Amino acid sequence: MRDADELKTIFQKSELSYPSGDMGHVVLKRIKAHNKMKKRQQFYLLLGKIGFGVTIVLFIFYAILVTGIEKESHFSGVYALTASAMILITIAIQLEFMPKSNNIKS
Amino acid sequence: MDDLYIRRVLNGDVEAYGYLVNQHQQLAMRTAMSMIKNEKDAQDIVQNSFVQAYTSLSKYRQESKFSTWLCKIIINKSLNFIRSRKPLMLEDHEIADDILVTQNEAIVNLDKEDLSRILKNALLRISAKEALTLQLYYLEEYSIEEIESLTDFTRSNIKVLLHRGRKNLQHILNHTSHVL
Repeated sequence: MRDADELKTIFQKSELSYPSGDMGHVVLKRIKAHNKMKKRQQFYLLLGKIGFGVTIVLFIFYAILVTGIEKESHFSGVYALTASAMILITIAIQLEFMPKSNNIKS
Repeated sequence: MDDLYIRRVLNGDVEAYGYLVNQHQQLAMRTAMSMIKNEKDAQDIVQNSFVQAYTSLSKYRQESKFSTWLCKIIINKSLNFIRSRKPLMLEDHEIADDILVTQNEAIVNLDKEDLSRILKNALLRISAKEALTLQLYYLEEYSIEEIESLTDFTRSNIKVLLHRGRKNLQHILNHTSHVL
């Protein structure tokens, strides 16, 4: 195994190193850009969920107006609508800020 | 020490990741260069690998060292790069079958910079798999079992690559030393 020993000596002695540029700075910059993009995505996702909830509420309101159920119902339509809106928005926010496992805090 | 910085990163300290990058960038570059053979492409792969390691850091189980885990990412990315662009680079080939490879003391006695330059050039000329296996075994001092888990090469494959890589590298180094 003389060849193997000699090769090991050559590798160890050479201390192979390659220019890596400003690797630390570049990688951190990319990571920060990635985190910023992720936060923006989460924000738009939350807006989307709230918007979806509001849309559902408006649809219910429209349905109540068109069908006139409010006049026959014991409860005021306004109270029902407000309750629906609050429930939907609360669910959307809860889903967004629910603690997720295996995520890096940012 | 790596574990301490990993915990800090997982707690939201992005700057702490800079320590991990600085500690392991040379290992990362050597691993990528052994396969990619081009500094610019290797730097891109290493940067991408560090970013992927960051985004997947929560999945890192501390059963193996961070450097080993990072190496696996780099090797996978390098293999994908090679397969997509230069599939022939993965081919193993014997440079010389019938040439008697003799030990030459001139190479070993060179100074560090000359030796490094010659070795880098020699590694460029052997196949990616051979260069990777030699570098992991002789320079990073991984065992055959560790190389098996890093690369998904079989044990017998690794031994063949080591044997063939040694032979090819020695042949190139001997030719170089005759020119010096």
